[in-house]
Amino acid sequence: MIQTIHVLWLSTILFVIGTAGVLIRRNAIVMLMSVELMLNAVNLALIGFSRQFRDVTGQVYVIFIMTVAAAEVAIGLALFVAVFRHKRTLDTQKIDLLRW
Amino acid sequence: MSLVIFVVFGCVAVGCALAMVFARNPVYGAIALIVCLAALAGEYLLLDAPLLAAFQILVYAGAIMVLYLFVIMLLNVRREEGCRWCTDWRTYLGFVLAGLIGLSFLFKASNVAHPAPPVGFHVYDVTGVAYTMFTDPTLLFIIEALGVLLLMSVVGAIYLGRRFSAEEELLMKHDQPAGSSGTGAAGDAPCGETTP
Repeated sequence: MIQTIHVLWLSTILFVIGTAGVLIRRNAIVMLMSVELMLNAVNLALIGFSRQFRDVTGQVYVIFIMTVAAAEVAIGLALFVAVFRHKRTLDTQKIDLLRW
Repeated sequence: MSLVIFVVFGCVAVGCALAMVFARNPVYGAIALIVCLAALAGEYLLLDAPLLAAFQILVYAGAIMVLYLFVIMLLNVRREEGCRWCTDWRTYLGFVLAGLIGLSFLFKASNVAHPAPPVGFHVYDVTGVAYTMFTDPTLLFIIEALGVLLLMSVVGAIYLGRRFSAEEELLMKHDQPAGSSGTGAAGDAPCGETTP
């Protein structure tokens, strides 16, 4: 029997791995993929709570999050293609036009 | 029994997530993330959400990750970073911050009383999800807003991916540093160094 706390543990682990990926990696595409992983961790927690409270609204919100993630990916990858055409790199250390 | 399957899927998901974060080649990272998302779809099936499991496979592993792989191969980014274990202070700061976030979550989760989930198997199918989605006025408003958001993202992506005009190209050539030609330009820079 899966308890809700197990779902929350797995969600936390995945979220932390995604956070670490965003903070550690310098490749912009890998950073965006880590953000996707964080979104999926949140989806997992929402589904766990939806099962716990027998309320389907959590699953509806998961569908919304998937929609937002798709829009985010479309815009983000278009931005990366534009930056790559400009700078010839996706290393976030080298994209420093606005750096203080 | 379901807990065993849950743990197996969870181990696959966590292992593939770690492989994604630490893969040097972004293509391997993307493939590891596809496996991780598929394992999460299995978790959704176990957690009484078969519709979302199907969406996870169709939308995430099918559409979004294909978009990622397409862009990675279009831009031909491979071995972008010079080192695998970058040992500058940012890396350690990242590990410490991520660990703190995880610890705070675990602390909160272990402090609340967690009641057992209700017994029995209650699967929400398409009808159940759609009924809630299209009868609640708040959710209906969010659906409208998401439609606008998708439209704006399509317009923005088309605008960002357009052909540049001649003067824009000239500006970019002027702005581009002389030494960085070719795709693997960032490959051989040492780790702690930042370009001035």
